Amino acid sequence: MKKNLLVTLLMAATLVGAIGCGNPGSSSEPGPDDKYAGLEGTALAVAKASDMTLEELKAASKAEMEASNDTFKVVGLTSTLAKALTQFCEAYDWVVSEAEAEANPELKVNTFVNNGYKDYALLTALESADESYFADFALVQDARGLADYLESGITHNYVPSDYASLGLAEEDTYPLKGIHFNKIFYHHKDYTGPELKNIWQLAGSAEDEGHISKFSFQSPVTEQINMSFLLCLQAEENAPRILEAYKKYYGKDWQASDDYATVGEQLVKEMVDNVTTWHKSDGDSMKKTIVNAKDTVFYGAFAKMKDAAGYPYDSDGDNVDDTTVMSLVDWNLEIEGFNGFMYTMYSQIVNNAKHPYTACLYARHLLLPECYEAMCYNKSTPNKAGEKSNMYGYYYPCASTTVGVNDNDLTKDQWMEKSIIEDYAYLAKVKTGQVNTILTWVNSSKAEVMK
Amino acid sequence: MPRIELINVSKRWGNFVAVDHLNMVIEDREFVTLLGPSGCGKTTTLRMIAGLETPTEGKIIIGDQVVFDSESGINVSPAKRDVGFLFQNYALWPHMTVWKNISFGLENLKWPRDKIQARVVEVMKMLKIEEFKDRYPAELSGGQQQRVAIARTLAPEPKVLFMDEPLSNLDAKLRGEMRTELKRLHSDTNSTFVYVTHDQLEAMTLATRVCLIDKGILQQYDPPLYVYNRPNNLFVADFVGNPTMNFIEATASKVNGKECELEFLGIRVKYTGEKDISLTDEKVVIGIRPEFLPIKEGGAIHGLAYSTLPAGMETTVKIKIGEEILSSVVFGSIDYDVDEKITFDIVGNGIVLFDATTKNQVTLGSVQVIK
Amino acid sequence: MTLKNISFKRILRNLKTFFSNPANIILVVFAVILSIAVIYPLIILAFDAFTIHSLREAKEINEVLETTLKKGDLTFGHWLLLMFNSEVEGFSQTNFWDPLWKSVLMSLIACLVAVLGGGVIAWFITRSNMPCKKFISTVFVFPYIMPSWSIAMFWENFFKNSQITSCYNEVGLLESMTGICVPESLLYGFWPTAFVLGIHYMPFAYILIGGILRNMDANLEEAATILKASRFKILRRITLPIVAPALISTVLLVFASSISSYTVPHFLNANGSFNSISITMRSMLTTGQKGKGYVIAVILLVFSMLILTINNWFTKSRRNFTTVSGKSGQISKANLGKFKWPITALLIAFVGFFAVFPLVTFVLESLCAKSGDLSTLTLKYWTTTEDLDVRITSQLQSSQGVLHNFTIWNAFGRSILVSTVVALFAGTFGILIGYAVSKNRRGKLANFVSSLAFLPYLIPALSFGAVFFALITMPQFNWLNVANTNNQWSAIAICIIAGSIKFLPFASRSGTNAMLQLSGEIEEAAIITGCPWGKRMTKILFPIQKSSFISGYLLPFISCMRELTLFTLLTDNFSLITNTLQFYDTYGLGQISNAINLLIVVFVIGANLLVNALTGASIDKGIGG
Repeated sequence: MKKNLLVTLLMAATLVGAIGCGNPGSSSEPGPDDKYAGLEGTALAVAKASDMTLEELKAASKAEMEASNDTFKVVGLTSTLAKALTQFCEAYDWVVSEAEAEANPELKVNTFVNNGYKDYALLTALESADESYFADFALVQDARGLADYLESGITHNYVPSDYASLGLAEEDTYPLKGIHFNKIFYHHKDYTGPELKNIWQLAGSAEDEGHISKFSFQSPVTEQINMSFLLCLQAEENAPRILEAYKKYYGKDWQASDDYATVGEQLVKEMVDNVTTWHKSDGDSMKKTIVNAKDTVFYGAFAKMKDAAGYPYDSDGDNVDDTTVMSLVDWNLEIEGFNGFMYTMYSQIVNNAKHPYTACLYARHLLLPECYEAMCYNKSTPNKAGEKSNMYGYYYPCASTTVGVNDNDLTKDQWMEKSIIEDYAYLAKVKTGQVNTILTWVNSSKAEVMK
Repeated sequence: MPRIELINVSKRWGNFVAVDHLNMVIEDREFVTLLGPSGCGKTTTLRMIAGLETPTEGKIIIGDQVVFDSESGINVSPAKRDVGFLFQNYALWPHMTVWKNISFGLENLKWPRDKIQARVVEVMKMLKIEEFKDRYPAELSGGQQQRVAIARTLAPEPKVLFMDEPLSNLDAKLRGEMRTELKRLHSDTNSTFVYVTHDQLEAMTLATRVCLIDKGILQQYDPPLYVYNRPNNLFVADFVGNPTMNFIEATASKVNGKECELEFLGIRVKYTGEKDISLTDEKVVIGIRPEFLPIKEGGAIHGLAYSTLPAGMETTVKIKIGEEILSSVVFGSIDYDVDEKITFDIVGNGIVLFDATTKNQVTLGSVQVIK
Repeated sequence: MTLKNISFKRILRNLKTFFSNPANIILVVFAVILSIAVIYPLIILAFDAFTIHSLREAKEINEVLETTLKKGDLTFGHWLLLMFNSEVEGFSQTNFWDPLWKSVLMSLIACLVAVLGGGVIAWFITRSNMPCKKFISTVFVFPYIMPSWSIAMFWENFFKNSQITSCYNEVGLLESMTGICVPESLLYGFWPTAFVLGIHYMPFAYILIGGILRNMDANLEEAATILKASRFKILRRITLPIVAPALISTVLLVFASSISSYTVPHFLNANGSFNSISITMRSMLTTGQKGKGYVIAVILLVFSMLILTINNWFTKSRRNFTTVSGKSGQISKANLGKFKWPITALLIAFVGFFAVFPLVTFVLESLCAKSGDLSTLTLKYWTTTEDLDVRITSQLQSSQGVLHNFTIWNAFGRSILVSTVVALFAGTFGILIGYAVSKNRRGKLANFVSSLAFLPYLIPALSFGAVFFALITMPQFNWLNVANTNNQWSAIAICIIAGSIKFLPFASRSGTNAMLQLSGEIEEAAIITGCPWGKRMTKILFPIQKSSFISGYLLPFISCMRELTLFTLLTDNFSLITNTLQFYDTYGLGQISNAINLLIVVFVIGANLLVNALTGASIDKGIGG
């Protein structure tokens, strides 16, 4: 890359002195196994790891950690990664977390997690992995960005050889799922507007019966997941449920027109036009709901439901006062069309990783029930009955888990059924033009007419 | 015709008194200089008369109009006082050409176009700056800027013209020339000039009357030569004249009417004043202008030539007597060796006697050495 | 052979003479440093506008323009797709042209508001007998000292009302106090954004214009008074034309800041009615359309440089000359007469509203369990030792009340450290540059260095941050990347480097101004006595212009303390105090983020007042010179 070369040259010449800019691994020796031909570096390691048994992988991880003086580094957007890393370290001797080192001063910490990124910051930061070491493991959100990185070799996808036994379907492995989240339509408990029963109430015009004219949505200009949502609404596979809802609402079949070639396009355009407020973040929208926006329907992360009462969980979870949790928010679970959007954070091995095998092992570890429990259940998340239950809006990608469903939440499968599901394959192929069309709709929907 | 009268005018900034109960009358067509050391309040006085500064108290009358009266709350704006003002740094507007600078004031007076045209040409001719009419001030030399500033001030034909050290930014030669021009202008324009300066020579040569101010208090207000010859007090005597007056501390005795005996530097003299001498005590200061100390052979007083400063037309000789150094001015060129013995006299009727305690002038008189 | 030797010797001798002058050494050193630190980012920025950054970008350009470019190739594609996108109808219009011209208009209105408001107040303070000047001029600079989003936040809190859907019908202060509901167009969108930016930069305009009015020879106006020009005519024909070049510089600076400002347009765009060019740029940069984002950055830069050129041309015209400072101690003040007190009351009300009231709302917001609901007052968010949010605790950060919150105080400490060092660097560089430039006023090298030192002002903070981010992701500079090292010293180091350059412009301006005010003889007198250069600087020049120089340190300190955009990519969520503000806000702890905002504002104002009291320096002097 010209830019980086220039940076290197200039900085090297002026500040550091003559540091040769090496070109690591530019020539690849043909491997012994034809299967790995053409692969090198991290890609090769990940490909090999994907063929390993758990024991082999553990051995490879152990070997590389013992040979390394560096820390094993995990990056991502969710705080649960830290808990998962602690649990990971408890499971394997050769990785040491801060918690372990605190308990046993003889141990030297060799792991590190940075989960404080904003989504775009992580994506930007990951780009540097193109040429240099940035991290070992990343939990990445935004399918379109990820598709680009996978194609460019910035990240690599690991598939556990025993994925089936972990309860994953083959389509869940590319990219490898880490954890699910969802967004839904909701409103204040004392909502005063028309009840949201059909998704087309959010589109159309004020003349339609039951039309909802106050709708708050985070702009897809700043929230990539919402862009993914709007794009997925236009995917062919989702057309039937939208068409069906259309028929139920308008009492007639949808017809293509000069304006709209697909039903998804019409829904998205009209929904964007119907937005009254672009809230700044989902947390922000939750705060607004709490105060007094009783006439507005919101679209936002279900995970924020724990803020719904204005007070998050009490710090000692034992005496959660259930009048304060979710006492102010309500939603309809039977909206015709769909209830919301289900999306995923994917486990990725970062290019130039120093500990690719450990990263793979960690990716696999995230899929274990005990790890999920550590991530998504803590002393403050029992349900009313006192049973172990999940954190709102965090869902286990595999089949069985020891953690139950929290009050007012649904299981992953139930949500999957009710939601539009983020389709990686579709999003990876979406043209920028389609994205730009939505951006154009968004930016022109409410623009003031200036004289 | 304008006569300017200041009655009990004071200006204070907090505790600082800039001008203290000043009373003075400037008669029509006078050329008055306000003279004093820096910070004495002379510029403030001028600005108060012009209306650029508001007095703390007092009354100012220009012509028959009260332009300021602290008691009745009258304060006429400078624009309505019909005065001209020439600033020390000329205050030419940098964004206007010479022509514009001059015509601006006339436009404000709503003069007709052709009259403005004629007047601007007239003053430019008077000040010999016609060739610069399209230039901007930044493109003129200091002397040229000065002329433009004068032209601008004169253009509206003000009855009273105020000048605030207008020559201080010019070099010595130019300053000399401008002085001559100003004096002519004064008679040509028939206006009253009030002129602030700290240069006593400028004040003496230009003015019809000099107003000496120190620390906000009027010290003397008289025609230049009167001030020179009959200073009211030690400050005035010291400030006016170059080389300065010789001051010698002396002890007075045998005061008798207009006469007394003085003793200084081991010399005893008999002093005869114009009027009766009355002193606080025996301590006095004698002020002798250098021209009253002629050096001649067989003079009554002996001294050493400390140094000689010939200037061609006259020569200043510093004479050492005891520990004192006296100045003497002798017409023509003489040169003495260092420490050459010389003798001199004290002559004339202009020997000033000051009371050392009050520092005020007691009388003028003559001296006779008692052998 | 001998000939060569001779010429070589001559060159050597010339060089020796050249470098025996400390001013020349400084110029050469800074020419090199600034070329790397300023020109280089600009080149990178320009390159980025022509480079394909990702496969996605390559794909889009190839699809639309039917090319076969790959990642890393150079192309005009970003320009074409942004400005003349044929693929998506209306894209260029709504994502580039509309935001661009509206932003230009917005910035011009902001300039007008800032210059008018700042100018009027500057005139009252320097040229009238208005009472309470000290108070008004002290308090009036607060909006500029506060983080830029403060006024926007306050604006929203004040004007939101039950009649407006896009603010969820929340009741703001105005409605709760008076029952008045303003229309939506006064709360969000183009006009409020322009107006709030104008208010934010009003103190800045006041400082600049006030400085000129103070330095402008009052005799120029008095001469016109004597020549019977009316007050209005004097203002129109004398004062304004003379301060015009300076006014134009003010307009330039406000324009450049406004058009690249992100936080204010972001805050006041809740209904999506006004997408500024900065919002568009940021969303492009952060959502995988980097090329287009950099195109906008380059266009903004070209805008600023154009105005800079116009400004230079103006100030160099023959109408302009440095006025010999007259007896400025004797400026006569316009008598406001019976309007004196009404005007004062109006100004105090205005200043109080935009400078003090926001502070009060920060305090209240930090005390309300429910935002805006005064019946829920609690000290909990300041004093509690309980964890307010387990998600924060699980990241090994504190979610206790502000007073017990180690995350906040550590970040606060780091912010102070970074700001202090940045101030020391930028301030000292500013003095050195000022010294060297003032010794070679007409020299080409001096001009080059002083222009370079000012350029960082015109580079939007976001792009500037991006360039440094690119640097620290390179292997050689990984040790500066906190994301890699997990060591906050990395963040501190890179923030110091970036901040020292970004905040150099004002320091070098005030340094140059201060040095130009000193006559060369002062230093020459010291040279004659054999005083070495270092001693001359520290024992003679610095003490004489102490307050101006310290002001040159103060401004980078304040700017750095409240900077977020520049440092976002270079830090993590806990590195600096502004990071933590954002962090606690995303976790819904608005009370804590308001408290942090209050901390920043109070600290910065306090520092300003303290330095002012101790040394006489103030940010007014820093900017105005």
